[in-house]
Amino acid sequence: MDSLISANISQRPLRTLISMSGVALGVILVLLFVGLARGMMGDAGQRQANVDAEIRVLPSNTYAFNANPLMLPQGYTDAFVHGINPTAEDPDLQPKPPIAGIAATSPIGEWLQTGTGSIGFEFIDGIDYASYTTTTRLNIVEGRGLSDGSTLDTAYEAIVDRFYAETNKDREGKPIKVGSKVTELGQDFTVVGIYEPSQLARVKIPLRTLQELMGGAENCTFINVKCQRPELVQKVVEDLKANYPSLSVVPTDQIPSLYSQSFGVVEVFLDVVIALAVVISTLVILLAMYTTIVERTREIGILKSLGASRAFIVGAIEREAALISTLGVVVGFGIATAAKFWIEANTRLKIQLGPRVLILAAVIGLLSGLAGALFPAFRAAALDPVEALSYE
Amino acid sequence: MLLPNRMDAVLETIDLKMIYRVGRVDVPALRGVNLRVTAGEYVAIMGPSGCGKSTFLHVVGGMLKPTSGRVMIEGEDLTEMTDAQRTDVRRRKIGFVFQRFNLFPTLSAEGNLKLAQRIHTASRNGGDAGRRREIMKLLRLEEKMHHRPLELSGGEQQRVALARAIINEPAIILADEPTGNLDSDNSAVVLEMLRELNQKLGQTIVMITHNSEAAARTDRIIEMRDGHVVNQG
Repeated sequence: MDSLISANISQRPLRTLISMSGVALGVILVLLFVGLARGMMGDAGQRQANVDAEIRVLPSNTYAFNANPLMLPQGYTDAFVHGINPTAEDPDLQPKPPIAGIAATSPIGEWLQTGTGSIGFEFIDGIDYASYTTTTRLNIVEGRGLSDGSTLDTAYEAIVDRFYAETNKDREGKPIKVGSKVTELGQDFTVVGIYEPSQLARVKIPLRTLQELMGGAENCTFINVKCQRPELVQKVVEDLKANYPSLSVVPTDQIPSLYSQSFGVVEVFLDVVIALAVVISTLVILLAMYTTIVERTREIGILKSLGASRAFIVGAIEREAALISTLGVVVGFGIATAAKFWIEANTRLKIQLGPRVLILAAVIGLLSGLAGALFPAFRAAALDPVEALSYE
Repeated sequence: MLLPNRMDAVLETIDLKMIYRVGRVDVPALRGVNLRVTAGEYVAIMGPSGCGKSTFLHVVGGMLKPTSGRVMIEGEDLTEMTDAQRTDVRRRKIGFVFQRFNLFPTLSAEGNLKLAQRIHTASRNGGDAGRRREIMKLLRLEEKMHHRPLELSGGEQQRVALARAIINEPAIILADEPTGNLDSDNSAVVLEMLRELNQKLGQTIVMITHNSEAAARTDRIIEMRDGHVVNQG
């Protein structure tokens, strides 16, 4: 063993293990949290993009596309197509013209619930199946579509996407297929169909059932609007905004980016996680290297007696920290990758470990390690050689 | 081999003083030491404990800055230098041998030599392997190249320390009680090695010792007392 650095690392295994674990922990934190947020947002954004309806109408001042209660009267679906006219029961109703260019509309209720195994959150959609399928392509690949939920027999039906069916178990722990029972919103639902492609929430139940369970009678979360032709979208958006200024009208092709923006708070959380990872890695390396320097005071004195410059000593300690940090990064990558596969196999969470997050975690692990070793390194370099040599 | 000109001063001190501040009390360790060691000399410094021998060695080795006076190593005045410059002189011109050997316990004998070479060349390459083998052979340590210090006897450890001190061909070796931790057999071997290095390589050596037998093997015995040189030998 001729290298001082590799000798220090291999012959102080506990110190090396603790230091490495600190860096690995930081790397794992960054990879899993950032990867989870990116994975979930990417997945949700993709499912938003799979909707064919070109326009989404939401209650006013709604910027977030998640966790909306049932606040939008679903009567707007008819109003957009047929217009509003005063009636005998409501003579004061402000008249509105039909919006030209609309082919179909569909009310959708969306509710946020705790995810599988109480890990994370996931949406459930309440849809009016008949109108829903007029606004977007939905292929039932097994079983059938939803009923309207108007009878007790049909109220607790659900359709799920293929991913949900392939990655979940029913109430009895068996693979999900048509006829399986799944628990959503605290109720048992019978799976009557499996659909493709994934869009909006993975589980869809009758809107009427969602309204009854969540107390939002005749209300929905948003309305999907399908235009007669793509070139009419802009005109329909403008007409909807002009006639319904109290509502938010959003082209659906903007939703994935708006969806990401609505997760601003997630970005703040990720920044906190990253900062925490940096602090953990830095502190662990700092403490480990500082302890090592104290233990090796005499060795520092020997280096100085041999004529080692301050730069040489700082460099040697920093290289040792870099090697430990590299090992920590590799171990962190390994554990985070294993955790990703375990989490994705046992929950519906998605973790995206793309090159950017891998590079971010590696840079954080390495820089934290180097930064943590700086103070001990400079302290070692500044030691008095005579005092260091007489250190017991 | 070209032996050094014996008239050249490798080490010269002029009115060298070193005063330690202990609390509010000044404790003089060196009180004006004047000494000249020429190239190729093998010199012993003797004196009772506390007479300033070790302080002298640390000052001329550039590890302590004297309170006043001058220290010249091959004409370079250490007293005018910064800490970094003194470190550089130590790297280029001085080899230390300590009583406690001071080898890196985690490195093999060869690793200890290689480290000294790396520091000397300020590079990360492995240094001259041929030179390492040559020095180890000279000190009869060829079989111990890959042993760690704890796998070596005290005498062998001190020979490795000696090898480390001369690997970079320093102008002077400063040995602080090199036989102080050794039994008489190992002491004899180490002293023999020092003598050989001096005679074969013309290595200038200043050795601090309490051992009069060890001192008797040198060219000159300098006596110190109370921070003064009382006999230049």
